[in-house]
Amino acid sequence: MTGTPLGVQSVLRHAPDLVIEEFDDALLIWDERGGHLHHLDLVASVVWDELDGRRSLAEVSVELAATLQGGGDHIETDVLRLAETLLAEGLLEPASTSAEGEEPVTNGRREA
Amino acid sequence: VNPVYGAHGHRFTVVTDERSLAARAERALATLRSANGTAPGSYRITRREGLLDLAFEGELIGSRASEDSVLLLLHWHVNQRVIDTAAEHRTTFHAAAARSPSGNGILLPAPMESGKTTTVTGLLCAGWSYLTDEAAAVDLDGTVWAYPKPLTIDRGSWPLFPHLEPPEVADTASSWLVTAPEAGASVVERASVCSIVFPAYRRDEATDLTPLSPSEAALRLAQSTFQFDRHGARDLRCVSTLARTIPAYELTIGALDQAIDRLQRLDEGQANAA
Repeated sequence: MTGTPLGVQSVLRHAPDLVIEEFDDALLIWDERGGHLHHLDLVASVVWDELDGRRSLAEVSVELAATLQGGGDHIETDVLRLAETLLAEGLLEPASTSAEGEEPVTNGRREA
Repeated sequence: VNPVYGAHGHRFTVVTDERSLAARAERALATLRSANGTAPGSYRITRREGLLDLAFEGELIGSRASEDSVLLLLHWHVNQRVIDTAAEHRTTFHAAAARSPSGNGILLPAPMESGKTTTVTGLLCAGWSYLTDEAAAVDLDGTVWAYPKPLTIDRGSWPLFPHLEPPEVADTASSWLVTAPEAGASVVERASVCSIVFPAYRRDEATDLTPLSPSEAALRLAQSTFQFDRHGARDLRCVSTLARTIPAYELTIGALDQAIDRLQRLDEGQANAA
């Protein structure tokens, strides 16, 4: 199964085995499985907090756009791009199938 | 009886028939003398076909042509072992550390060639006490534990400390090994870190001390941690706690005397605030 590419209807959640330290302007995340330390700046941290495994990337984008009060013209694209990066780095994982009949999203790595 | 040396659980003796070398090793390792602990491992230095072989527990580490070089090789190996054992028990930074006369500890994390040893040597010459110039093991509460190895002062810093030139150093040597007492300083077992300063030597730039945010300090501390990949969860918690509770700065070093003056004033400010 290769799955479908990430889309705005995808629902993502934080991967397990992460150690997270929150600061006012950033997050530091230690990925126990991957053995990597990640630094998320303030903007990425805000998006990260919204990825709760219940709402789609589109819903998260709408919410963030409302919070930014008109400052989010390209927010859906930015959220999608960030999610792709975090998924590829193993910090996020699919929370569910995006819609009935669709395959689970993948992080771009083909499974054997 | 050979003296026993040690730090952070790495205990060792140095055995050699070379009398001059034995005396130099004993002088350079004086601040690592260790009374108690587990049975020590044994370094042995022997002369073979014009070279000096260094072995630990019977295994050859390397061969060098001069006493200066084999002493530096010995210290390199001791460093690796001490760092390994220290990092097993505590978050251990690639850092220098010292304690001010008022009792405040300073942690100076930085990569090689950034000015750690030069900065801490400058502090010792200004009356501070010594903890380390290489590896600082730190508890979650900010206690830093000493690894009082000899200062390894590289050739580029020799003009700053001409009074510290050891006897018996060849013209070809790359570094001086100087103990803290030889620099006029005492050694302390531990200190409470009151400031974290990341030194960065930048020739021709103005000396400056710039505050860092807690997140920036935590990230830099993580990048300065030995074996972070082996103890990531423990070490991330430690660096984050330290960064949230202890003020952190970047120290751009254009001139050493000005840098030491900045650190002295920082310490005075903390002492007055306390």
